[in-house]
Amino acid sequence: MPHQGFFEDGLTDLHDPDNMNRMLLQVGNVAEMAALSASFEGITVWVDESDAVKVLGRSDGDSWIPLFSTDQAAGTPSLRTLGTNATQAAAGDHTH
Amino acid sequence: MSIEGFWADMTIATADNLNACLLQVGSGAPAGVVGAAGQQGRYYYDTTNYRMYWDNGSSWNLLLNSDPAVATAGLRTLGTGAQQAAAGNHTHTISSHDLEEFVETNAAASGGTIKSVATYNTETTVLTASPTWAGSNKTRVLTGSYVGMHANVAAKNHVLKLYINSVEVASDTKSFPSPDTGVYRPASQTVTYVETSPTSGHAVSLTGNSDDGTPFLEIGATLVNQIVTI
Repeated sequence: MPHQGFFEDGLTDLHDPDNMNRMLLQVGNVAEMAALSASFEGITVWVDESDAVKVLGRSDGDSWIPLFSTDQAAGTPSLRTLGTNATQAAAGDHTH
Repeated sequence: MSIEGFWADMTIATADNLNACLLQVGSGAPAGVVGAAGQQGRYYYDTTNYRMYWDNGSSWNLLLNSDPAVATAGLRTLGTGAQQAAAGNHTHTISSHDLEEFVETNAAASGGTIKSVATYNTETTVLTASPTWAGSNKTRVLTGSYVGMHANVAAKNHVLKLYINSVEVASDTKSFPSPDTGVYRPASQTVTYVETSPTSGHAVSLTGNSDDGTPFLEIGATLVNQIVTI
């Protein structure tokens, strides 16, 4: 079964260094990652807005799709900050 | 560390092999989406189960999992399961709260005579009790209180101590005021001990003492033993 990605048969895009770099992890804010993700399926992005907002995403050829992010709903496996809110994890030394 | 991967030479430079270098995604284990392992360096994310895999050339290996074993770092859901994280706003339900209160039997009664037992120079037991409880996974909160006074013209210290099975567990020193123009001024004092995993030693006692020769007149004392199970 073929792999997913923006490279096409004929390899006309093989000699573009930007395409080689598109194979590497890209890091930036939401706007930057949205611009990078357009038209290139398979780009992996790390959206780093703040300590509390970190998202691993992947381009579907149109925009980036979150794979996992921070402090999602309780039933969604997620990176968690520590605190006392409903979607945060309790610190190990928390008290009542 | 040497660079590892499935690229032996550039003769295999095909679109599919280049795409194999990109993160692959799908639902479920990678073998069912991008095929069996065999191209070292590929990585794959299972969007249904929140798992990241890596192809080591012979098998798909789990790099990141959701709710893995306790000592394994991973993405976590929130809940009460052993491998989930507790929500930041979680609460605890108290399954039982047993309270026993013991009052010093010779305490002064209204209209009665102030007790002559004086606690000075020698540590004196003012109250003993034997709370009754059993079981595990409990917390004991033991509180002793003392009400008394003295006749010295200056404020004087009183020391209140709490014992479990004759072992001192807590103490408190407090300055009691002097009489005000001949009128006694009773004061109170408390001492508290929290035992997080009590397993034995039910007998408790409360002692008082004044270490400077000032007689203290005890009006009353209580011991409250609270057993909380969460």
